[in-house]
Amino acid sequence: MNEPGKRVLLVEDNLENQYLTTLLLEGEGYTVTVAGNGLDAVQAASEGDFDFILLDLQLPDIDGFEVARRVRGPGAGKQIPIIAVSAFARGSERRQAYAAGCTGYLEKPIDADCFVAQVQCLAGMPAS
Amino acid sequence: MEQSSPPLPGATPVPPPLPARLLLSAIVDSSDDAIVSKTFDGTITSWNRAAQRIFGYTPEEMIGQSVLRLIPPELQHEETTIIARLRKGERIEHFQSLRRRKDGSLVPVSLTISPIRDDHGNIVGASKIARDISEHKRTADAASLLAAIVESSQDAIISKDLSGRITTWNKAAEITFGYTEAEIIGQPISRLIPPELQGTEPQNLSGLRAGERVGHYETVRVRKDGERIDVSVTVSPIVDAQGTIIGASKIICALGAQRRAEQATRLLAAIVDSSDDAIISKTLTGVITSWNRGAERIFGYTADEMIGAPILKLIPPERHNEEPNIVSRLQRGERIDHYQTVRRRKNGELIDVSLTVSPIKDSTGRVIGASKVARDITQEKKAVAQLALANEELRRAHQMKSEFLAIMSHELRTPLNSIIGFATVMRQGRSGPLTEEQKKQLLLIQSSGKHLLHLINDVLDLSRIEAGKMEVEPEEFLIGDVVEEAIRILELPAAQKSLKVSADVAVTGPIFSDRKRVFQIVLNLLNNAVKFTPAGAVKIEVTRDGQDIVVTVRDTGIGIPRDKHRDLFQAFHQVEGSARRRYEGTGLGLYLCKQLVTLLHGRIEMESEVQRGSVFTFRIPERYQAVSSAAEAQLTEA
Repeated sequence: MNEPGKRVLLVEDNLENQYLTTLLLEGEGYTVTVAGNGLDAVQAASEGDFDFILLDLQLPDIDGFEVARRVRGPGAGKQIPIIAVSAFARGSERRQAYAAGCTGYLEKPIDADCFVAQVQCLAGMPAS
Repeated sequence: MEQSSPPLPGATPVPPPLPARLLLSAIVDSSDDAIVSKTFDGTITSWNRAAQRIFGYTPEEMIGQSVLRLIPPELQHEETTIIARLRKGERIEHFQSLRRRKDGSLVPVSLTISPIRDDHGNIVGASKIARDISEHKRTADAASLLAAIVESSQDAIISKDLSGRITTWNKAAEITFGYTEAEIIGQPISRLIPPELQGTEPQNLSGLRAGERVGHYETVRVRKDGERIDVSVTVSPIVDAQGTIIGASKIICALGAQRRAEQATRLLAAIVDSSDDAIISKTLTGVITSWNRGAERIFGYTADEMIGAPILKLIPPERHNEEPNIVSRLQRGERIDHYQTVRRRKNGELIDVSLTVSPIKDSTGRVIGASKVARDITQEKKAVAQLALANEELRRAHQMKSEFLAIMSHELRTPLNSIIGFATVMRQGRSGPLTEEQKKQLLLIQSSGKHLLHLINDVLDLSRIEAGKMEVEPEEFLIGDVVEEAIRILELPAAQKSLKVSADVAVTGPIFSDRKRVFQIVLNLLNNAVKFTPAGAVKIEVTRDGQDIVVTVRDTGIGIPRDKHRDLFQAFHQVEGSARRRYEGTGLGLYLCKQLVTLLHGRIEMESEVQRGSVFTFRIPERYQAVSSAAEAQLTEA
C-alpha cells in the first residue's frame, strides 16, 4: 500500500464518478484518497503526501479553480501535478484551469479504456 | 335734382324798392347755394351764408377780396375765359369745376354765372351761384358702384319691362344663358322659359303689376344652346321715382353649380368630421376657428368649448414657446410636417402628437391662418417603447440561452460519464466474468452513450457557431496524430464491416490551427465514409498545396445523387430515401464540418457518384491567422 508514485488525491463530489474513477485507478494499483468538496481537498492536499491530484472543477463549496489556486498558493509551495477532470467543454474553462495552476485537462465523459494511461501521461509518471 | 336756381340779380349794389330788396336778401341768405357777386376785376362785392358754409370764409373776410382766392392755382385760367364770356353778355350755366375752401380742401362745384347790368344795361359785374355738388357726385359714384356690383355678380341679374321685354342683362346672365347683351336686350323674356312653363309667365307679370315680390322659387330655364338648367329665381318690381311699377328685376342663380359647390362643401365637412385625426384651424393670433370630432375625441374639448378659444389651451405651459416659432414659419408660407410634440387634454393628461401645420391663404395669397392636423401617437410611442423593451428581453434571453447551453453541456455529460464509464469497466471484465451476449449488450450501451455524446457535442457546437461564440484556439500539432486518433476511434465499426481504412499523410511538420476542430472535421468525414460504405475501402490523404493543408477522404460507398449535392452542407440534411432509415445521425455532421472549416478560414468540397463512392476534400491554411471581422465576413461569403 501507499506505493510511491501511486498516491492520488481525487477531488470529486459526484458519488458515481468517485466510484468509477476509484475503480479504474485501484485497478492499476493506485491508492485513492477522496475529497468530496473544495475545502476538504485543500486541507488534504496540504497534509497528505500525494503524487498528483485529479480535480473536478464544479464543486459544492469553492470551485476547482479556487482549489488549484490555493494548493499552488504562497506557503503551500507544492509542485504537485494537478489534472482537471471536468464536464466543462468550453475553451474558456480549459484556459481558466491552466491559469489557476492545473497542469493537465481531461474532459468528461472519460474514456475508461485509456483513462489511467492518459492520467499517467499528464502527471509525468512512467507508464505502468 | 337738376332744377337750377332761377337767375337772380343777387345782392346788387343797386337798391331796389325796400320790400322787394328785403325779400330778395332773405331769399339769397336762405339759399343752399353760394351766391356771390363780383366786379369785372374779380373783387367780391357780396357773400351769402351758403357761401360761408361751403367755402368757410365769413363775408368780412371775403368782401373786397379777389375771387381768385377761391380758385385753385391750376384752374385760374378759367376765370379769364369766364370774364371774356360775361363781357359778351353771355350767361354760363352749370359749369362744373373745383374751388378751394378756406381750410385748403377742394370742393366740386357747379357754377352758374350771370352778368349784372346797371340801369343802362351796361355790364358792371357778375353774380355767381356755386352749388356744392359733392353729394351729387357721391350719388353718381354709388350708381356706378351698383352697376359694378351687378356686373360682377355670380348670379344672373336681368330686368324686364311690363311687356316682358328684357331691358338689362349682366355678365353672369350671359354666362348662365349663353346670350350676349346685344343679342337679348329687347327680346321677350319668354325666350328663357321652357315651352311647358310658358303659361306661368303672364301670371308673374300680373303679380308684378300688383307690386308683389317673388322670392327664391326654383324652376327650370333654357339656355341659348337648348340645355335646360335648374335655377332659383327672385323677382322684384322696379318702381320709378313716382312709385309706378315699370318693370321687374330677376336674380337668377343656376342651382347646378350651387348644388355641386354645396355638395363639395358637405363632402369636405364629412371628411374632416370623420377623420381620426384632430383637424383644427386657427388665426395667426392663435384663436381657434374650427374644431372637428377627431379634435373632440383626442383633446376632450367640444367645438363649442374651443372655437374662439386660444390654441395655447392645448399646449403644456413648458412648451408655450413652440407657438411663436410655428407662427413665424407659417407667416413665411412654410408648412410644418410631422412635428412630434406633446399636447394637453382637457383632463390635464399629456399626449404625444404628431402635428402637420399648413398656412391658410386668402385669394390674394396672404397668410390669414393655419390648419393643424394632430395625430395622437401615444399608442405608437408606447409600441416603440414596448418594442425596445422586447428587444432588451430578447437580448437577455439570448444571453441566458448561452448560459443555459454551458450548464446543459455540463449536466448532460456528467451522467454520460457513468453510463459510458461503467459499461466500459464491465466489458473489461473487471466486475466478474461475462457471457458473450452480456459483452455484446454492454458494447451497445457504450456505443449508444458515445453516440449520444456526439449528438450533444454537435448541437452545442452548432448553437455556439450560430451565436458567433465559437472560438478558434490555435496551437502547434501534428496532423498525422489527429488522423491516427480518428482512425483508432473508427477501428471497431470499420472492422465489423471488414472495411480497410488507410492513411497517407505527406505532411510531417507541425501545423498551427485548432486541433480540436480539425480533429472534429476529420472524424466526421471518416465516420461518414465508414457509415455509408457497406464494403470496400476508406482512405484519407493529407498533402500540402502552397500555404494550405489539403485533406481528402475517399470511400467506395453508396455515393450521393447529383441533385442532392447542393443541399448536402445544409443543416439537418441527410440524403432522402432508404438512407434515412438505414443510417442514424442528426444530419448535422456535414453542416458542422462546413461551419468549422470556414471558421478555420478554409473550404470544403465534394465529388460523388452513385454506387461508386464519394470524395470529400477540405483545405485550411497551414498556419491559422486571426483576421479582422470584416475580412472574416468576406471569407465566409466566399
